[in-house]
Amino acid sequence: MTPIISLSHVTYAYPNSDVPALRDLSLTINKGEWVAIIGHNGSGKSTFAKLLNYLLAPDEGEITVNDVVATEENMWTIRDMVGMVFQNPDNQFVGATVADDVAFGMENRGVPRDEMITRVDAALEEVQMMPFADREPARLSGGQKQRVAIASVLALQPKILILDEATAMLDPTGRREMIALVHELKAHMGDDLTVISITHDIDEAASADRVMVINDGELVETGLPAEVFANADQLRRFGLAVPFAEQLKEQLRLRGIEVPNEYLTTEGLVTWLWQSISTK
Amino acid sequence: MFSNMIIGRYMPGDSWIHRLDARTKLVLSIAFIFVVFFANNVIGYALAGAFTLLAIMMTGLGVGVFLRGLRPLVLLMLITTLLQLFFVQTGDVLVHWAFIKITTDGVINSVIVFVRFMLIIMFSTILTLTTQPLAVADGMESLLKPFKKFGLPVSELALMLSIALRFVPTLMDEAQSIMNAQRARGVRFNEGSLMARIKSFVPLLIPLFVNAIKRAIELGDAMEARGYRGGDQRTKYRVLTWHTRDTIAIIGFVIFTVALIATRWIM
Amino acid sequence: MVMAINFDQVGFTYQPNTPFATPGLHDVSFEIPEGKFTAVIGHTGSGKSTMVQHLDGLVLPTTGKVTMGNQVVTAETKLKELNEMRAHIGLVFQFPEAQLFEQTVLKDVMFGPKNFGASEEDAQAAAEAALKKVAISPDLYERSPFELSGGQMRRVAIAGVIAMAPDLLILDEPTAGLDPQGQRELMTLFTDLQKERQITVVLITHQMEYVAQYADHVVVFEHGTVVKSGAPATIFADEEWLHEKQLDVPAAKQFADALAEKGIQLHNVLDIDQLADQLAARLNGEVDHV
Repeated sequence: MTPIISLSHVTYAYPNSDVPALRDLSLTINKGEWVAIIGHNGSGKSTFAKLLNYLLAPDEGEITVNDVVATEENMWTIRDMVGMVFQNPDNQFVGATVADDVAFGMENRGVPRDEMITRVDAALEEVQMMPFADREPARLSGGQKQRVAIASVLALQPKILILDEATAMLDPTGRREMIALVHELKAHMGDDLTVISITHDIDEAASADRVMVINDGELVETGLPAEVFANADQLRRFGLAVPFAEQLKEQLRLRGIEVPNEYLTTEGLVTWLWQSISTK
Repeated sequence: MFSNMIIGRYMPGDSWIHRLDARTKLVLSIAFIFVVFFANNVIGYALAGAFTLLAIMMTGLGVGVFLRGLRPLVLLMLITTLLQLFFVQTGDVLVHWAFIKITTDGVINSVIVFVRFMLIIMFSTILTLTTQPLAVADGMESLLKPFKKFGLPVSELALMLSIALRFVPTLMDEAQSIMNAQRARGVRFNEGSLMARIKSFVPLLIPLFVNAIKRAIELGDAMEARGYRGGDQRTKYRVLTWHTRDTIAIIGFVIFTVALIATRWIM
Repeated sequence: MVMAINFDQVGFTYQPNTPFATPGLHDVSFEIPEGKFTAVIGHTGSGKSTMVQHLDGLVLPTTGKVTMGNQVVTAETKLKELNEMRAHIGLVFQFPEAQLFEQTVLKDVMFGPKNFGASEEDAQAAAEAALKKVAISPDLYERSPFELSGGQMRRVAIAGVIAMAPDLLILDEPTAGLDPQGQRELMTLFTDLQKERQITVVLITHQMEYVAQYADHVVVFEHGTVVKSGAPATIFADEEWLHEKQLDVPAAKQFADALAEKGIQLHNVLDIDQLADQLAARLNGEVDHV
C-alpha cells in the first residue's frame, strides 16, 4: 500500500474565526482506497476536502498529494490530480449544456479540441449521461447534475476523486444511483482511482474501505466500517446516524435479549435471528 | 409573474431559421435596424413587412407567438407614436383644439414610426426566439474577436455572459420560491400603494442577493477546483460552423436591401 | 378553526394559454384528515410540491376545487380571501433558510405574525416562544440571521413559521441537508407541536422512516395525480406495488421481509419498536399464535 495523501499536523482556522476548523490533523490515505469521512455539520469535514485541493491553504502542518507538497507553487499540479464534486448540484454546473460543462476543465488546461470531444464522450459514457449531452442544466434532475459533475472530474483523469457531501441534496433514488456509480468506477479503475467521500449517508459510508470520523476539527476515530459502526453510543455522541441493524440490536438488548457484540450488517443480523429463533 | 414574458425567450425548433448560425442572425438583426430606414414610401414598407413576415413564417412558430411577444411593449410603442403625433407640427392642420394641434405630417410620421418599431421588434424577436441564448453569446464572442487586439477581454466577457445566462433559470426558480415563502408569511406583492409595493420587494431582494452571492462563491470554488485561471491558454470546446444556408441567408438579405433601396425611386 | 382539507378533481396547468403551458396536476382528489399527521410521498416531479402550493393559495387550481375548512378555493377565488386563509397556515419550504432577510433573528421571526396583523408586543411574544421551541438561545435574538450556522438558520426560519400559530402546518422536506442529529431534533419538534396543539400537519418527504414513524395518513403522488392514500400500514402492505412505483419501504419493514424469506413471519411491522417487540417475544420462546 502506497500512501497517496498524507497530512501531518495540519491546522486551519477561517480568517473570521478564532476557533480552528481543523486542529492538528494527521492521517494517511492509500492509493486506490475508498475512504468515507463522517462528522456532524460544522465538524470540519468540508474544510478538510478544500485543503486537499488547495482551495484552502493550511495555517500549520504539511499536506502531500502523490508526493507533491501542497503549496501555492504546486497548486495547479495538485488540482490536476484531485477532482472534486461539491454538495449543491446547481452551484458547480459551469457550462451551458452537459457537454460544455464536462469540457470546461479541459478548456482550462488548453486540451486540443479533438481530444476534448473524445474525452467528453468517454466521460459521459462512463456516467451514463451520453443521451443528455446537449441538455441544459435547468432540464436535469439533481442526481443527473451530480453525475455530470463526476463526468467533469473524470474527463480530467484525476488520481483522487473527492465527493464533498455530493449526495446530501439528492432524493433517495439519486443518492443510490450515485453510490452505485462510484462502485462501478472503483470496480473498473481499481487502484488508479482513490475516492474520498464526505458524507452523512450510512450506505455511502458503509461502501467505503475505511471510515474516518471528524468531530469538532479533530480526527476522533478511524477504522473499518464494521468497527466504526458497531459503536452506536459513540456515533450518537458525535451527532451521527446509527445503522439500522445496530439500532435493532440496541432495542433487543433493552428488551433483555443477549445479542452479539460485534458489528452485524442487516443480512448478518437476519441470519443470527433466524438461527436463534429456529433453535428455540 | 415571470410567466408571460415571451420576448427574449428561446423556443426550441428545427426550422431553417433555427439552424442558421447565431452570427448570421445577429448581424442580420442589427443590419435590419438600419436597412428599414431605406424605406420611404408605402411600397418600401410593404416590402419590409413582407420580408419580416416571410422570415417569421419560416421559423415555424406561428405569427401569434410574435404578436403576443409585442404585448409588453405596446405602451412604449404608443407613447413614441403619440409623441410624434403631437410634436411634429409641419404640414396641413387637421385638428386644432386648445393647445393640441395635429397635422398631416404628424399623422404620417407617427404611422411611420409605429411601423418601423413593429418591424424592428418583430425581426429582433426572430433572433431571440430561434437562437439559444448561449449561441447568441458565442456569436457575440466570435464577432467581437477583432477587438481582443485592443485589450478587450472578449473570452472572459463571453464566459461571464454564458454563466450569467446559465444561471437565469436557476435564479428565476429561486426568486419564485422565495416569493412563495414570503407570501406564505403574509407579504402581499403587487398590492397597495407604490410605496407598499416597493417595500414588499425587500423580503424578496435581500435573500435573493444573499443566496446569489453564496452561489457565486461556491461556483468560484468549483471553477477553481476544475483548474480555471483565465488567460489565453484556454481552448474552446464549442465552435461555430458556417453553413451554405448562412451564405444563402446573407445573399437573401442583400437582395432584400437592394430591392428596398430601389423602392425609393419607384414613387 | 377547522382545517380538514379536501381536493376535488383538481387540475393545474403551468403558464396556461401560453406556448409554454405544461400540465402540473390532473384529476387530483383526496382528503387530509383534520388534526392528524399526513405524509405525502412520491417521486421528485410527481406533483407533490405543486399540490402544496394549492394548500396555501400560492397558486389557484386551473380546474376543480380545494376545500379548506370553510374556505373553498377555485380558479376564481379572490386574493383577499387567500390572504385571510394564509393567516392560519404555516408553510415550511425546502431549505427555508433562504427566506431570512431581516436585520435580526427576532425581527425575522416577528415578520409573519406582524404581516397578519399582530401587534408589536404580541408578535414579539409569539416570536420568543417560537424561538424557544426551536432551541435558539436568547443571546442570538439580536444577531443577524446571516451570521448563524446552517442548522441555526434553518431553525430560525422554522420559528418564523411556527410563530404564526398555524392550524395547518405544511412541511416540504424540512430536514433536507441537515446532519442526522439535526434531522432527529427537527422531527421531534414537529411531532411534539402537532400533539400539543392538535394541529393538522402535512409532511412531504422521501424518507419512509418518517412516514412509518410519524404519519397517521399517507398520500402517494405519481405523474401529477394521487395514486393511493390510506394508513401507513395499508400503503406499505403491497410490496409489489411500491416496488413498481419505485418507492422505498421503511427499514423495519424491509428487515421483517428479509426475516419472512427465512420463514420467520412477523405481523404489521412498520417501525423499529414493533419489530423489536415481536422479535423479543420470539427469542424469549413465546409462541406467536396470531
